[in-house]
This record gives sequence, C-alpha cells and structure tokens, in this order.
Amino acid sequence: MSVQTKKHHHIIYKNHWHMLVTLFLIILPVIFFLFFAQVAHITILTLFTDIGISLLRMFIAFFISIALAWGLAVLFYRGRRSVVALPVFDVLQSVPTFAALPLAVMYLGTNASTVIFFLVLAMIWPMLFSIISSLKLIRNEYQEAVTIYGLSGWKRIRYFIFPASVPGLITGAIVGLGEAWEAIIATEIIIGIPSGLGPFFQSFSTSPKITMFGILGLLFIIFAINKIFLLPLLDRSHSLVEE
Amino acid sequence: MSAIITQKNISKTFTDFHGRKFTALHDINLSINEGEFFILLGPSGCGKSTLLRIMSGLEPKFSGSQIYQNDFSMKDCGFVFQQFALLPWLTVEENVSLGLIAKGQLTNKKKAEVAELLKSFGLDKFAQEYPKELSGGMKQRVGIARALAVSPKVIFLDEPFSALDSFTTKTLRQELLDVWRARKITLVMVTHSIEEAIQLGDRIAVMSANPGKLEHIIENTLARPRDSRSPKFFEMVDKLETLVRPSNAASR
Repeated sequence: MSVQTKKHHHIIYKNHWHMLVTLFLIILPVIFFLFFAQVAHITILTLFTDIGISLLRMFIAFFISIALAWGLAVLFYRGRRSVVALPVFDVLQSVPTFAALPLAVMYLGTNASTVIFFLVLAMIWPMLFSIISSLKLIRNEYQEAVTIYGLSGWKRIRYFIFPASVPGLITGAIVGLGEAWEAIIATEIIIGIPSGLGPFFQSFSTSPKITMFGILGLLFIIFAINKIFLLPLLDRSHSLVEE
Repeated sequence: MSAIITQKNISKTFTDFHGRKFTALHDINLSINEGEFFILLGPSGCGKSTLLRIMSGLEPKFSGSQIYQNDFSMKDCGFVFQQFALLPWLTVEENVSLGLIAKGQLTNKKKAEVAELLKSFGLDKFAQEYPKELSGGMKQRVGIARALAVSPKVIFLDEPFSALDSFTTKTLRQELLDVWRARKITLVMVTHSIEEAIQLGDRIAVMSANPGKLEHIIENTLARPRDSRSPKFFEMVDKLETLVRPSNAASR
C-alpha cells in the first residue's frame, strides 16, 4: 500500500539575510568559546570535550524521554486507564528527584548512565503532559471519522494519533530541554562526574568572571538550538493541525 | 423494499458529571428502508444526532435492539459530519482515500476511482491541497466524497449543511440528490431545517426533546424535482411546523 503523499515544501530560509543570521547563530558561540578558552586558560580541546560530552548525554536522554513520554501518553491519555494513570503521573512529576541522587550514586555509581537517568526524570514530565494535552484536545468528530472509516492499529497511529500529537511533542521538547539544561549541570556537579559541563563550572567556582562568561556561553548554545531547531518546528507543528 | 436497519425500543441515557441521569432517547422504533432518503428532523436536544450515531455504530452503548440487514456492517457506512472532520494533516486526496487506506484497499483501480470522484465534485484542482485551504462548501464536498469512496450502502449525514451559507447549501443539496439518484444508496440525514427535510427526504421522522422521542414519521410524496415555492410544498411546511415542537431545555 502506498499513498501519494505530497512533499511538504519546508522553506527553512526565507531569504539570504535569514540564512546569514542563522549561520551567525552557529558561528557566534564557537567564536565566543575560542575567546573564552583563551581568557580562562584552558585548552580548546578540554572546553569542547566538556560541552560535547554534556550535549551528548542530553541528546541521548532527550530521545529516551521523548519516546517514553509519547508511548505513555498514547497509552494513557483517555479512557478508564487515564483515570488511574494521570493522577499517578502528576504525583510522580512532583517527586523531588534530586533527593534520590546520593542514593543513585551509591547503587548506580558515578557514571554517564546515572546522569542520563536523572535527565530523563527531569525531562519526561513536561513532555508527557504536553503530549497528553494535545491528544486530549483532538476533536471528537475526528475520533468518530477515524472510527467510522476503520483506521486501526498501526494505521491509526500513522495517520491519526501521531500527527495529532506533534504540537505536544514539540512543546514538550522545548520545555523538557529547558529543564534538562538545569538538570544536567546540577546532576553532574552533585554526583561529581569528572567530565562535562558540571565539573567544568565547578572547577571555575572560584572565579565569578569565568563562571559568568560560562553561563553566557551556555545561553548562546541554548539560544542557537532554540532558534535553529525548536522555534521553526513549533511554527510548523501548529500549521499542521490548523483546520 | 427491505429494511436495512431496524430499531426496536431504543433508549439512551447519559450520566453527567454529577452522576445525574439524563434520557437522550426514549423508546424509539423505526426502520430504514434500502435506497430511501430518510430524514431525522427535530429541535436541538431531541437526540437526533445520538440516534444517528447509534445507527452508524459510533455509539455502541444503548438499550433496545438494532438489527442490520444480513450482510450490512459498519464497513458499508459513510458518515458526513457537521464540522466536516477532515484530518488537517492529510491532503484532500488522502482525506478522500481515508477509508480505503484504512482497509488496505488503495489499489490502482481505487486510486483512479478516487480521482474520478474528486473530479465529479470539482475537487481535482485541490487534490494536493490541505483542507484549511478550502472554503466550507469545498470542505463538505471532500466530506461527501470521502463517504462515497468506500462504496457504502448507507451514508449517515449529521447536519451536513448547517455550517454553510445558504447559497452553498442550496448547491450542495442538489449535488447530494444527484449522487443519491445516480448511486442508489440509502441516506439517513439529521437536520433541524423543515425546508431541507421536505426538499430532500422520502420519509421524515419528527422528533421531540426531553426526553428525545419519535413523534411521527411523515411520508413525503411530493414529486421530484421539488419546487420549494409550490403550494403543496408550503402545505407540507405548515404540516411539519405544527408537528415540530421547539425544545425549551438547553441540552445536547
């Protein structure tokens, strides 16, 4: 079975000017960090390794969380199951997970998987709840149309549930990543892992100036990721469900 | 003529948030004949949409019995919605093909049929557009084409024209009549417009609210095409106006 899907013509760059600004968003943080490495007297390699390692951990945790959150949302967003599941999720999301950090170090050890585990715990809830809310907002007539025309199983997901959940996925990704930045630095510092942004900031804790510049650099990265990936996706996801 | 759907003693109660019970339908008895244009007419809150959903199988919880003709099932149904209910992330062509995609029947032959269907509704130019780019009338044409694409025996229509302006409504009523005549399918349509009921229906079931009850079933023997300004048409309007009682309670 194949459906002739129209190729969506996603225009990423509106014009040359837009492209230059986007390029600038990538180049600026890099230049900033080169300069920063000079000032802080650390090798560029160390700096970029730390950034890279933390980003990689976030990347892995992000995909685990988004997949888990989506699956849980689809399973529990409605019906009798949701009556039990949603209050449970709500309690779970309020658990101060960092309280369990020392315990986790004892059992899981000081390693990347502990960091990733706690990142998932920080990220998954905003993702889960925003996906659930976009699924709950599906108009009843859509449900009925899909039922009467017999979409079921995998096709129901491919043609109905997934597209309807995209705005929630994107919003959840944005909020979740916001939580993750906070969580990654805190977790890395608390468990005392030797590599990544956490130990980086900790090693410069005596110098307010370098800490400040470090945070500024982090903001550059976050801003660039938001501007290049997340905000355009948010725009597009809303036009997807517009009637 | 044989009955395609027979309903006996159908009742439906909803329970609201506070646990109060509300009778939407009370003891409905009717049958839909094969090939007829059947109208459910009544004020809002009389349960006509609920009854339509019970008939189509969308509302599986009710009391009473409903018997379908031997080989008839939900697969042989099309449904046209008041607010169109086109999936916004699918193109017009994909929306029309939805039932075929679902059943895994989108063969080349069926694709050609879909293309033919799009053409007959003047939608071929919009095949690759998304629903939001269409006017209300065009959206409902997609809705009707989607219902026809599954080659149904019965199409259920839930106030299909009430979201449209009067000019568009007029054209679409005629297009629906043409489709009905050409394909010899059974149509069951909900409306609150007396004029629309007389214009279209073979039989008109008049319902009343609180609780939703079936008051009368009127045979509409006016010759087609029906002239809405003929004396006989007006007679019929008068007759129905005395039968349809407005509901006072605000409810579903």
